[in-house]
Amino acid sequence: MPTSFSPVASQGLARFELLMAFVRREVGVRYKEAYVGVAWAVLQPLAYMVIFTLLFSRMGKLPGSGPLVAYVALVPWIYAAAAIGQSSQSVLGQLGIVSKIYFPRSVLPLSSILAAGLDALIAFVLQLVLMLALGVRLAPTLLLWPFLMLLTGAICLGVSLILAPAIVRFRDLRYIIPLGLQLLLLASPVGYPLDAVPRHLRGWYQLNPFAGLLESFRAIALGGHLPRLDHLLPAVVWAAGLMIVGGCFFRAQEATLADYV
Amino acid sequence: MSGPAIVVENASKRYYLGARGGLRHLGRELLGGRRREELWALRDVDLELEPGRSLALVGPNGAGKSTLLKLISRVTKPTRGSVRVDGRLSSLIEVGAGFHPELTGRENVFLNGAILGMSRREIARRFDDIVAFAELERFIDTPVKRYSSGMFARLGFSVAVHTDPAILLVDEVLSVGDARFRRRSYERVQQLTREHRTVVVVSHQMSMVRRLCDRAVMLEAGRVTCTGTADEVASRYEVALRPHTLVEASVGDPQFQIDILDIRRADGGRNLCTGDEMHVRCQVERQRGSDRAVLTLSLNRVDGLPVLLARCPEPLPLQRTIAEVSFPLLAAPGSYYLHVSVRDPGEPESIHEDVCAVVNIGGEDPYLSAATITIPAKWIVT
Repeated sequence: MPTSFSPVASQGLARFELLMAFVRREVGVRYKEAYVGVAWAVLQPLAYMVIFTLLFSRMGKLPGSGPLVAYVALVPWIYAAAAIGQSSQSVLGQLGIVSKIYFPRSVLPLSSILAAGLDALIAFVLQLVLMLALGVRLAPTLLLWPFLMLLTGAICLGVSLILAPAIVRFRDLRYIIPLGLQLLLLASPVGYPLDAVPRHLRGWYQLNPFAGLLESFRAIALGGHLPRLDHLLPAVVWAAGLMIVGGCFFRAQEATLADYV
Repeated sequence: MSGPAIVVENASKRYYLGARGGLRHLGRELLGGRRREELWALRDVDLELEPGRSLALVGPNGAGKSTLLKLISRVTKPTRGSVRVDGRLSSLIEVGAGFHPELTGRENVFLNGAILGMSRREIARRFDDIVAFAELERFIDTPVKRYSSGMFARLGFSVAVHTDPAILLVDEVLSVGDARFRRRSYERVQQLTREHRTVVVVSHQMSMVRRLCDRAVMLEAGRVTCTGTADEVASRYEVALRPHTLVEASVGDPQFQIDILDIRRADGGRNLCTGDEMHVRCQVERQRGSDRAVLTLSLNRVDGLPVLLARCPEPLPLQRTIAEVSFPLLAAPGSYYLHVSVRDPGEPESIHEDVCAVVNIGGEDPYLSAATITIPAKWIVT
């Protein structure tokens, strides 16, 4: 029975399905044989939310809607940390398959990025529930959330396309990356708003793509207005640059990844 | 489809030996100074295979056969030269490599099928065939980590041969599972060759090479040393190995020393075939050491399973002696390791000394190769 697709289209379809198979595998495996199972996808951000709420309500420094200020930025941040953390390890973790079967290697980092997105989606639903519970109006600008996430995902993918092959050669990166992510957290407005950064440092601070990006997440959720262009620009530039550099680097490396078992 | 299915042009593959990592190596690699010791697994290999033909890669261990399969399957690319492949390729190299232990058999069939390039619809359509061929209907919803190694291999093999490949690469996997499954997988590959799929087989069993393949290439130390019809090359390979090659003389207990002097047929011929009387002559020396030690002989399959065992009833005398042993060669055709060792009777772990040679046992009937031993049976047909 010949398929009705042209060869190119059916190859594209097979590649997409391969990507989905890896996403399913990653999501399916994650909570297997844990007693609470998939509920962890909800419990984790919930726990973060409670911790941050307690922490910041005590300090009482944040303007605006209290716990939500932290949580709204926390959702994309946890996503970015998980996506980069898992995606950069994705090739190393699957080296067993990579060294035995050929398949387009790029599905490995990409599937990790997508799988982490599923958790972010659950956390976002939780965010909406929380906003309703706290009596915050759901602004129409919230519809921009997927686009901001796409931008976040693009940055993470670009970083991972560089880190995933690099980590296979330089295993030391396995220990450096979590450290780097911790530092990046401190340098990003997750636990504090961007306004809290001293004015004379803000130029440097905004070189971090997450600075303006997380602020934009706050703007669409709590401010009810569109993200500021000068907040988005660094993120867009970073995303484009990282995707191009990462894409080229990954292409150059992917054919010989199997040699580094 | 026009043009060859596989073209390998002037391909060489370099690997580096030794461990990576450590500050010493970092400095060295960054400065670009002395590199690690290198090994050319393949050198200037040229190969062309028309669609629908089958090719065997033969050669001793470490000759580069598996590396060549990796290049053809695009797992890695050659250091120099090029490899071009036209058509969907499926490889029976370490079947089940893509399985995730936590996922069930069913989930793994879909995952593995996708990795091998099948669409979900294709997999769904062939799912029942895959499971039926692997004979795992009852266990298909069990996580594969609870599978036995045989079940695991059967499922992996079954997915790989059901991908409807235009090109199939086979690396000694026809030795997975029990004898019955081995025969069925052999027949399945044979059927694929008859359906004019392009097949590349790596095998040490010359009987299989002759039955499955049109052409063969012999590799030695990374170079192609002989190309021709499967029969020609298989014969060349058998001659190259005949009568036996010493694998290793293990340095065991210094009080004992064994040297295999000769392996041949009892009637003096050098060709060994299933059913022949085999004759092994060795020189044994005991200086002091255990005075209970006896000489034993075992013929092991390539996977290590002892097929024939014989033990000398007399303990070794305290001197240099010549030991000769004859026995009917009941082992099925194939390659074997012949071990001559000195051990204390009753203590399975006590090996004082052990030497090993590769022995090739001929026989044209691949049906016999599916067995482990053949027996001299009395037939009465009336």
